[in-house]
Amino acid sequence: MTAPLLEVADLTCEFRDRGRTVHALNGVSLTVGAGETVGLVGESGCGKSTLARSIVRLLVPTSGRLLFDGQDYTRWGERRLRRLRKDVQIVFQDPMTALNPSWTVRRLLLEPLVLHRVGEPERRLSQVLDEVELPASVLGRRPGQLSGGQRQRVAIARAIAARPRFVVLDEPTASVDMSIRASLLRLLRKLQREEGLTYLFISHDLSTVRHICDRLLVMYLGRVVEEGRTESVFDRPAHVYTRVLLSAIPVPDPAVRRRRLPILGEPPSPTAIPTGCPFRPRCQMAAGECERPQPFYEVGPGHRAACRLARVEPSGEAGTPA
Amino acid sequence: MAVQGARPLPIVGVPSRRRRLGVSALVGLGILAVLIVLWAWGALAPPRDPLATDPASQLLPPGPGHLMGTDTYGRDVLSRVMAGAGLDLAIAASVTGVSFVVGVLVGALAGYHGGWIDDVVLRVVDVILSFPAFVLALAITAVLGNSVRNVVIAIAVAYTPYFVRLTRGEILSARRADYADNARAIGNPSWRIVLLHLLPNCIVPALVQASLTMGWSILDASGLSFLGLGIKPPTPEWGVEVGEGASNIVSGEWWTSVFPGLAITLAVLSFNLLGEAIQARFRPRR
Repeated sequence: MTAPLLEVADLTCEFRDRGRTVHALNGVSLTVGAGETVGLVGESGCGKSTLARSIVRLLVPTSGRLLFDGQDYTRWGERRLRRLRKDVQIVFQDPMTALNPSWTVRRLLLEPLVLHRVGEPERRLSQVLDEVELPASVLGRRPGQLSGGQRQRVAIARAIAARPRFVVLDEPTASVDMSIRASLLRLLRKLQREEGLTYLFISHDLSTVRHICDRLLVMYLGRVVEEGRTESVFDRPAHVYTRVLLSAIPVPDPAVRRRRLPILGEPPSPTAIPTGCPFRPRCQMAAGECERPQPFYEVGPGHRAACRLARVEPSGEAGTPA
Repeated sequence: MAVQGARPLPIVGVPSRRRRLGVSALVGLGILAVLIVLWAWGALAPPRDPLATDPASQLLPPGPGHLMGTDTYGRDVLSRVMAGAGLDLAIAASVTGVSFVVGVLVGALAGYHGGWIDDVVLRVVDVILSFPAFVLALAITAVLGNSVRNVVIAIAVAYTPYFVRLTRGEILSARRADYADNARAIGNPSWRIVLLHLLPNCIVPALVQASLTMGWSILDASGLSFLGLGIKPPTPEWGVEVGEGASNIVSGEWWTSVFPGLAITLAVLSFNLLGEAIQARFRPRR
């Protein structure tokens, strides 16, 4: 892999909530190379959105480092961040709430062009409208007058209008139904090809992620527990949590008998993260050594997991410590 | 042929996009129009000079020569009510303009910035609001001296806190909205987020308040003048006119006070109705 475009190193993010500390992120490290699409999956409450908001610096992380193109912007002030924001954009989950209800589409799309002083904004406006496959007739409408799919296309157009290099997609297809989901994913892939974009694609929907991502990160309780190439993770999930997640994907064939792996109880509160492996209290395979923090074990090329079952066994069939 | 004759089905339950103006809006606008016509007429071609005294025609009852009669000094009450319309509406507009602009901006700043700015603003607002508006205005004119400008300042100070409170509250909830985060993520500086993104969605309560403030400030301005702490007597202002005519009511010359008093009532009524109409027009919006 070439030098990463985005690098997140040991990021933690804590909030105070009614006197207790919520550990939303617990040392997340990841890299995204230029032109890559990296998927980030995990159940709700695992810190996906907190990570997204930290990366675009709507939040200030508690510790750790954020680097874009080698520049550390973890502690940049608003004024300096505004330059970064030309390159690093985000698409929110629900465009109904993420687009100003009283602005017209035209105004929404022109704003990033004006803010980042893109030359010939009118030309770029019609160009970006073409790119997201919206008719010029939507320009005079407000978000409330559009369909759900059109709204998300407007949100995507607004994010890519000033030609960013990196886009965080925070569950971009979660607010629309299945048929529109497919066309949005196709659009996102097309945009990536044409504009040379790099994506961090956040989702709780594994089947969506499988079709668009080169690499996958699996998050649990504010931590990355497994990462690797998408096929590799799907073919040989190493962390027990990943296996549980994969076994829960619905298969659209009534003849197929699914064997769902059991998972115990509810995710623990992020105010009281378990010691050692965070998945330990819900894991059927938990053993004594899981009470200690688990290192990453290499499962395959670029594929590693923080689970004792991913470690090399005496017979040598699983992996070696990374 | 059945198809040819078919009419489109009536669409039930789809509200028309632009609702017609309600009754309160129509009545409010109607009264306001009458007052503005009165003022324009008085300014362009008054029946009589509102300041010209005439010892020969003191306290004449309403009749053909003087439609609203004359006062103690023989001045034409109708002309004075007309001239008062201009002054009182101007005072109301100035008060509302000043308190609206100052209040909305300070409220938006406090609500968006939070922290110590919010604390300071809220304490000042609480102090001002702990006085009844009229008593506060009374005290300020007593200190500043009575002139039209000081009356405007006094009443504006008393009403600004309402705009601060309303706008602060609206901004406080709007700034948590996703579109505020989106605006920041796209590269907006804070002032643009507040002024261009948040305020337009937070302004309706302040507009309603502005309409009510128009009415109340007319009431307060004329009240101050009635008590001798507002506009000075020969000036044709409704409160002054009511005050000057007050002693005549006992002796039966009711018209010197009742007509300017009626003007005050109608003006306040019209602005209250308009406020109600603005609220009804914008509230159900999502």
